[in-house]
Amino acid sequence: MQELKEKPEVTGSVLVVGGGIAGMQASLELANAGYLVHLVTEAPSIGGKMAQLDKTFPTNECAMCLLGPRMTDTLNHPNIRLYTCSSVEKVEGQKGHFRVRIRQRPRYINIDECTACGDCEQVCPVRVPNAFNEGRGERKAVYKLFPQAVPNKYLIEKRGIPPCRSTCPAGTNAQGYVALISQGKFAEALEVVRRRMPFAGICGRICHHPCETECNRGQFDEPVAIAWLKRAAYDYGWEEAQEKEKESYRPRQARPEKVAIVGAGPAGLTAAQDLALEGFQVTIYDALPSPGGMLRAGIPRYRLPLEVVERETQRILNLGIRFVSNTRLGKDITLEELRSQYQAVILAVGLQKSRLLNIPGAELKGILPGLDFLRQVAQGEKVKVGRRVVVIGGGNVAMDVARTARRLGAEEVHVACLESRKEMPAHSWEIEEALEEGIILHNSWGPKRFLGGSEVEAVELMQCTRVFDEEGRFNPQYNPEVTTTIPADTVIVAIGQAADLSFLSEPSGIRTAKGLIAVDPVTLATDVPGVFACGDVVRGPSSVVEAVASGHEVAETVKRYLNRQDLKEGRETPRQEKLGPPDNVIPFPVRRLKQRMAPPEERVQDFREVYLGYTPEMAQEEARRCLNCGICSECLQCEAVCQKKAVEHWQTEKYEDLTVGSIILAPGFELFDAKLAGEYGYGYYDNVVTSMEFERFLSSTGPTQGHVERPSDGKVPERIAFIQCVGSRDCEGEGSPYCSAICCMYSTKEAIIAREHDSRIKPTIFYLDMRSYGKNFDKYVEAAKQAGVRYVRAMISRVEEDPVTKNLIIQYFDGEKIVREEFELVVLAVGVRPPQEAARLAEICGIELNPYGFARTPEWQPVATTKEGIYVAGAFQGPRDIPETVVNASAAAACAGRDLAPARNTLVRPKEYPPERDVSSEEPRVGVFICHCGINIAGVVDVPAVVEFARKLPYVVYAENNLYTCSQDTLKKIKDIIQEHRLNRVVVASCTIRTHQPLFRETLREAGLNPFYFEMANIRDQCSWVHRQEAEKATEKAKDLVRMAVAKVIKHEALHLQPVPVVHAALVIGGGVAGLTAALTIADQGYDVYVVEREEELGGYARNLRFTLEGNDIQAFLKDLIERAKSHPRIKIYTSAQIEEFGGHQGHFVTTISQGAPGREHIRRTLKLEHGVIIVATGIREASTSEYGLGQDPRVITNTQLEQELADGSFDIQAHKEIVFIQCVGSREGERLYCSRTCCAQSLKNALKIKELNPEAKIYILYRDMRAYGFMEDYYRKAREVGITFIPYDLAAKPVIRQREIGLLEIEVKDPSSGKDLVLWPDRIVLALGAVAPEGIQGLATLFKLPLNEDGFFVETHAKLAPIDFPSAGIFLCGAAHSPKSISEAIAQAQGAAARACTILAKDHLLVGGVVAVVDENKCAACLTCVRVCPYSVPRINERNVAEINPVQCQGCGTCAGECPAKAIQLQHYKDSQLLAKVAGLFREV
Amino acid sequence: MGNSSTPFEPKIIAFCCYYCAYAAADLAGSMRLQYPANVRLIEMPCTGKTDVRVLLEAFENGADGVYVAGCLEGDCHFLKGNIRAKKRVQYAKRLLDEIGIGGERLEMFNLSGSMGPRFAEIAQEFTEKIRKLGPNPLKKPNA
Repeated sequence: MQELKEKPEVTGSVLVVGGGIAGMQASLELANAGYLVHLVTEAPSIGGKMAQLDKTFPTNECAMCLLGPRMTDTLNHPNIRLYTCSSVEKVEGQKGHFRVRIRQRPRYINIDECTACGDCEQVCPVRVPNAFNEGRGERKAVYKLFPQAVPNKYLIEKRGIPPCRSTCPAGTNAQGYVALISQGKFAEALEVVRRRMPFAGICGRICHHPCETECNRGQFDEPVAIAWLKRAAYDYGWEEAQEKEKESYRPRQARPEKVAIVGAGPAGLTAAQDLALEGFQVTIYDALPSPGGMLRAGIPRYRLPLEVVERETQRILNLGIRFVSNTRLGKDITLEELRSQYQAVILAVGLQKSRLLNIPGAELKGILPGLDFLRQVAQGEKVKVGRRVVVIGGGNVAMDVARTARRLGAEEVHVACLESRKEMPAHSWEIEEALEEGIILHNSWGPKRFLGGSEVEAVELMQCTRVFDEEGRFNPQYNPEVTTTIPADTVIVAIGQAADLSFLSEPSGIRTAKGLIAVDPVTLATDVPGVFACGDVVRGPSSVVEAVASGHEVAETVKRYLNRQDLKEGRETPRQEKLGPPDNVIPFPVRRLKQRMAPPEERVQDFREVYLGYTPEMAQEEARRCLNCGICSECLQCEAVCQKKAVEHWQTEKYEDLTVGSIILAPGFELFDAKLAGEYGYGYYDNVVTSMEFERFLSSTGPTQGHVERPSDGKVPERIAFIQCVGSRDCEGEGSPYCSAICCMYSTKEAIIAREHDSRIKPTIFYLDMRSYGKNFDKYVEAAKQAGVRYVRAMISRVEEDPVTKNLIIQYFDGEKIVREEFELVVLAVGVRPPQEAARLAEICGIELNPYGFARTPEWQPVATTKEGIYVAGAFQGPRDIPETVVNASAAAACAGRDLAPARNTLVRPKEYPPERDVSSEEPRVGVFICHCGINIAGVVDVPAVVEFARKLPYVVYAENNLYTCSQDTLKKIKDIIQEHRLNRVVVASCTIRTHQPLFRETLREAGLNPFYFEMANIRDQCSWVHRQEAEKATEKAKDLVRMAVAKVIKHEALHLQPVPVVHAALVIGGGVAGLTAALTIADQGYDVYVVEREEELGGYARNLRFTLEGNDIQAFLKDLIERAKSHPRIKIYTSAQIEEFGGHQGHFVTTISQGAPGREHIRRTLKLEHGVIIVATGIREASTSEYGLGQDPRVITNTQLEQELADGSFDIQAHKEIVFIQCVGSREGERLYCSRTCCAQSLKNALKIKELNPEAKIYILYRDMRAYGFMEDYYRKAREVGITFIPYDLAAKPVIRQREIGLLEIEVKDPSSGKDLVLWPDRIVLALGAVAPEGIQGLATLFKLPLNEDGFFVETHAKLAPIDFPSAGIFLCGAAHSPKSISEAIAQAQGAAARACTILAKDHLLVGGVVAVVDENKCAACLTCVRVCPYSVPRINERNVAEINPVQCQGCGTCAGECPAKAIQLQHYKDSQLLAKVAGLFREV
Repeated sequence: MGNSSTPFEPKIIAFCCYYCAYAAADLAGSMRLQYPANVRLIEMPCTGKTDVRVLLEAFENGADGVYVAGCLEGDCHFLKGNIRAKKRVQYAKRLLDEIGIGGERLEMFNLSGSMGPRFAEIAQEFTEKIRKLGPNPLKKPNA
């Protein structure tokens, strides 16, 4: 006996994974039942797939209208904590106590601050395909998932650092400035360049641009011309950027520390800039008279004009840097002197010496060092060259020298180098341009000697056989035998550079290595404290951009050194892997644009610039070629424009650990990737789209704003083909074997809606079986047919495109012949796939998946997983439609809640408010708060004028404008002003009541005012945003709206919610599977339940059934269920009972029942039951028929009879070798138009059972559509595999039964595959009869005032989102009373009903009142108008003979108030007097 | 009638149900769809609340045009409030005809909450229509 085992602690909170309709439903149920809910979704908005839908079947309602309020409720619920962009990382523990880790990805937007004004989106230069529109149309890198996203907040998508930026030694944000250039924002682009690269104009011309080598666009055609674009930023952005810099330049706090930099080349200047911006006192020394180093003195002017160098270097010096010219270190000033005067010294002296040749004749006149030559030319010295010039060297300097010589008048310029053309170190384009200018190249020749007297006359060259050895080291080999001689007047040697380190001759302590200064590779510090080095003198000859990089690094070191920080910490970051192009990128075919160049014959005349750059238009066009590999380009335009400072590019991911009692997984589903079904040409043919794309085309927020246009030419496609089962019921292709359950219906819907949009459209749906098995679905399909939708039962195996018209040709067999038909658009009904994160989630949670990757759930526990305490909801259980998703989500909530019942209300705390001020007798004192919304309102509406206007309105005692009225500080201020000015009414003129009214009402409550003393004027969404070009009129309108709001708020009254006690008991009508399941689920949560059953025995219709398709024993299950119900201490069962009287309201109903004594029905006792909720679970009965000889010929039996024979062993295998099943007997025709949903499964299971008993038996199933939806398809397939013959029949040609004289049972049916009449002589005929509503249902419906449809099933409040609710509050529906369904579906709905019921039972009191209708008894004439018009049957005529409207039941629509002829009814808060005041307020002050 | 040099700018009231038409108006805003500034919205819980007296008084006060905008038929959040509203609007139109203001100055529209473009279109078309009809004849000169 281990009694010591501790009872596990139960936590009163639940984790819900998934923000779609299932996740929201489950969260709301639990939150309303007293649990704290953590709702985690990967997406940036809740809403799930439903948000993408335009309409819903079978009512064609707007999906977003249904979804919107549900999303808002979820977001605003005090017991729901929402985690967007988040995923579950870890789950530990067990039922009742799980520990969960949540990972929150950064949104880069602070959602507490974001007002969704969209300013960031407007300036964002990055356009990417809009995934919400299935890749159709574009969105920005900063975006909202969809216009109505909840939370209504932006986010930024980042993929990583694009290769252009990660490759740049200086880290220049190429994608950022390219994106801005694509929008013509050159100044902004220049500003982005300058963040890391102070020399945009210089590098835009001469950079060797490794970024372009890495550019992903190069994989498709050619890289983006990033360097040339940088030049464009300089060329066209300079003036504007200078102006902006002047405005925005704020010198930092000046620092006393002094830094000396030796060398005003790119490295030294970069370091100087960074340090000056930090506030340090910087002095640069240079040997030359002006700054720029090699930029000024080494690079020829035709490549880099002097004014560019002057502008860009001067811009740096303008930061307050002292420049000391003509000062050479070691000669004019010593390092020791510098060290004594400055706290830090940076050596950036570069490589000043040319390497020379040590060969015979090197001393001859006319042999010049290359660098000296360039420097002299650059400084304007007159340098003479001879007629024939030979340049030795193959690098960029050699090219510069050669081309310079050409420009100085040399007629013949030869370049001789060791390397072959391919090996030459000079950039290929430099060589090309030199050749264009007539330079003669001599590859693979080394200098042997110079010939001549005192002056050089010729160069003798010897053959170079190899430049590099096996290890790739420079190690030239010659063949001195093979020589050639080139006559020369001048020889210029450009074979390399070296550092001039003569200034180190004194014992400085600075170490050198290989002729360069030795430094720490990360910090660039020398061995001497306070002395640092950067640029070429550290790393040898390299490019400008590398010098800049080096300058940044040394500046960082010096900053840390002077701040006494660790020099190294965090700087040795490993290189990230290269980021590839974005997924699914299809680059538009635009080749790289060449920049303009002067023609070679002109350019050799002088030193004018060779490259002429792009025009602004060319630059924009070229910039648009960028693939935006990082998505967000981090150009930071959003940050600059956001007045709320909500943009936070620095955000990183966060982890949060939670403790929860239960977990509900509702991650939704994915759609089949239509590209995998190659036979339909998706992705190749423009006019083949998926159903979800088509849905977006239909949506008014979609890429075509609801116009049906085909992608190839934007024309209205008149002939549209829908191809069903794409990726579903597919055992051979890439699809899934199961049926996706929803496609028949959504295609029907899309076809109807398309026709509604444009009556020219003629849709055709190609299908295999029309699986419209749900409530009212068959009627919907019939209506579609009436509305002109054509249905063709045919398998489509391929689609071809007419390349000229882009029309699509479909070939199919119509039963008689092959038909080729042309369509203008093909829509693929793509199937349902398990959610992407299913496998990961299953592993983390430790639950099992089924073979298809959906959650594995036991048949009798449809929302349970294989792990206790973890439940599933929605399509994660398998493909299903929205109502079933809602049902299952409620069921999952019921199960999760049941586990945690002891901890209910332990983690949710009601908020405390200050006592409410009674202001009813005060004169109105109105405060008006008018919002700028940054510039969203104030940019159009003259807000100060509106404030002035508001101040003069009657009763207004306070008016002000706010930058953001909804910000936390303003809300606090409003509270203070309410106190200070004794305000008793508040008007806010800002955005929409839909998102912000709850927030402001809450503020009033917190300030001690009744929240109904509030009114809002929508001057943003409905004014400034929609009248942007008419500022004056918008201002007038804003004034009107404010005056109207003030006029109405004066008439407002305080409304109070009254508590009404709840009776913690439920009444369940019906003792079948649904009723008993509901009863047990409620009783397990600690509430009393009364079960009323008409029959003597419990069990309902399930008593007739024996086994399920999956093989489970129904009677064993039922017995257990009944036992559990009977023995439950909180359940009271009344059999042989009926309902006599009914009254009351949600929270407190009173029902009188009568119960017959066992065996003596007429002796009845009556009981009065009091309860808070009602669950209707009245079930179903099997239909009856006399068709096909049932009841006349004993060989004709019902499916249920067969099932019982099979179960109890009385089925005679030998006597029944041939059996025919007939489906849809009496269903889907005549008076019974609906589908009974379960009969296909029942026939399949019975047929399979017979085959199991006797594999030789011949079985035929005559059907209209085999509705083996979802995973049931497996059994349909199995039935075909074991040899069961399926023959479809048409309603027009039903099977005919004949009695032959010889006693044979003959049945004739038309076989569509052969077109012939088929005659069968079966031993048995089994009829699938379907189900009908039970007798007496009408009386019950009348008594409870519940609506029934024409088929005798109860009508739920809403077919989609409220499939368990009745319009009358407190009454719920489950099981087959709703519509025919399987046992597991009934169980789910029963559990769902229990969840709905518990949202009421969990409360001690219901708060009623508020916006409800009230009756003035003195005016009421008891005319019954209100009783008649109320959609919820709330009003009744009471004992005083006047109308009475119970606030507990009133939904607040005001229909009765609008209709009441005597004006005896008013809707609170929308009283006639209040609305009239508002109307009058438009025209005058009231 | 007024100053002949400034064009007639009608004042139009749109009674919009919270669930559909008001949402559509907001959506038109977030889509930045532009429409004339003549329309002023009054939010209603449901068009079923529409009261004939309120409609008529709007004209009496000086509205040049009024429209009621509710959910699509069959989509009413409160089941069939919009059908009730339609009947009342029809009735009020007859009254307006009888008293000489003209029933065409009052209309009922149906649209869903995701039909932002339709909202803008209605505002545009109705404003145009009222502009053509001229000022409300009840308005006193120089009022």
